[in-house]
Amino acid sequence: MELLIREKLLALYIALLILDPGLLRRSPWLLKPDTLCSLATLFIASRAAELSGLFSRVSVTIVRRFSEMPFMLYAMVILSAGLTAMLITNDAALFIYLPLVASIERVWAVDLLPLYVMTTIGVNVHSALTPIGNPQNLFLWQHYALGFTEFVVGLAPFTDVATALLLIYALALATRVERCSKPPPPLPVRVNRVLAASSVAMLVALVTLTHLSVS
Amino acid sequence: MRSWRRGAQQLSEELARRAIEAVKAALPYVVAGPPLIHRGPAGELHVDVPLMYHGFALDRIHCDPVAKTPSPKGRPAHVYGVEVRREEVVEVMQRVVRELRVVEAAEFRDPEDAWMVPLAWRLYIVAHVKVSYEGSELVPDYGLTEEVRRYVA
Repeated sequence: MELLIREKLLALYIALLILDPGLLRRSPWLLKPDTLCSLATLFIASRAAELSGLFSRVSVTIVRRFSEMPFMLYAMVILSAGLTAMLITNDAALFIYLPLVASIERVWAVDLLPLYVMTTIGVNVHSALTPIGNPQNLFLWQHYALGFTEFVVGLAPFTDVATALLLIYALALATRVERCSKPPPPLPVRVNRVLAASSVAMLVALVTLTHLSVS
Repeated sequence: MRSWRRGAQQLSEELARRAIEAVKAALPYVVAGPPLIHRGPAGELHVDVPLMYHGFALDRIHCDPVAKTPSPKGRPAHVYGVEVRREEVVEVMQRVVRELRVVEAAEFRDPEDAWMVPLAWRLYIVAHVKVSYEGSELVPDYGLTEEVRRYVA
């Protein structure tokens, strides 16, 4: 019972099985092994990068430099997450930047809930600019046989407006960030280089193989 | 191995001093992590509490759940037939962490290329903090960090 309370999707699945017993037979065909493998790889790479101390290291640098300028910190995280999403898809970018925001929050000791939300929105907004930014764009790009530049130029006005609105909103939110009484931590932790390199290599391999398989 | 790569660079008291100062600066950010309660094959329990620095474990402190004090490093207290209350351990260890002080001396471990700076609670050395050769970064115990995360999750 405890398991069902914790695993809500499993509970939902059992409820659906009661309503539709034939679902059990069809279930294996509903699974997408490729997607599951990609997500598992992303989880592992993201967790490994976090555990290697890489995010902590970057967070200490960011907080030291921008703790007095919350808007700059917000803008930098949102825009770099967006730029990453344009190149490696929105989902993969979120797997990198949400743990980074969590790490910044831990180092800075301030509530960064708005930054989590803004990063998620930013990643989706910016990923819309390029054909490889998200799966929908890939589909549209291939379906309409558009050139890369043509695609980007066509979508640039929308993403530019969305980016401007996002930054204005970030400015409004960043002014409300409570200043932490504690100074940023004096020392970073040593990065576990093997783990960090493995996670980056895994991510690069995943993105490359995904792009190759769809092109 | 690293020392060989450094060639002529030598250890000095100045480097040891830097490592000690680094630990002193980091100590206010160190907190007690979740207690790790291990049960041995004969039913004995021993309790370790990790020292956490921004989500990374630096070392573990052995906790004696009967005496409600830390044990000296190297001698974990094994207890039998005692029910360990997690909240009580946390409370004791939070107080202990506030009372930790940095010992003004360091050892150097060549294979790890790092200084080991002892932390003392009263007259016991209870933990070590590992600091890089030049004193610019703390070296977490990655194995312990994984254990903490597995345990908590």
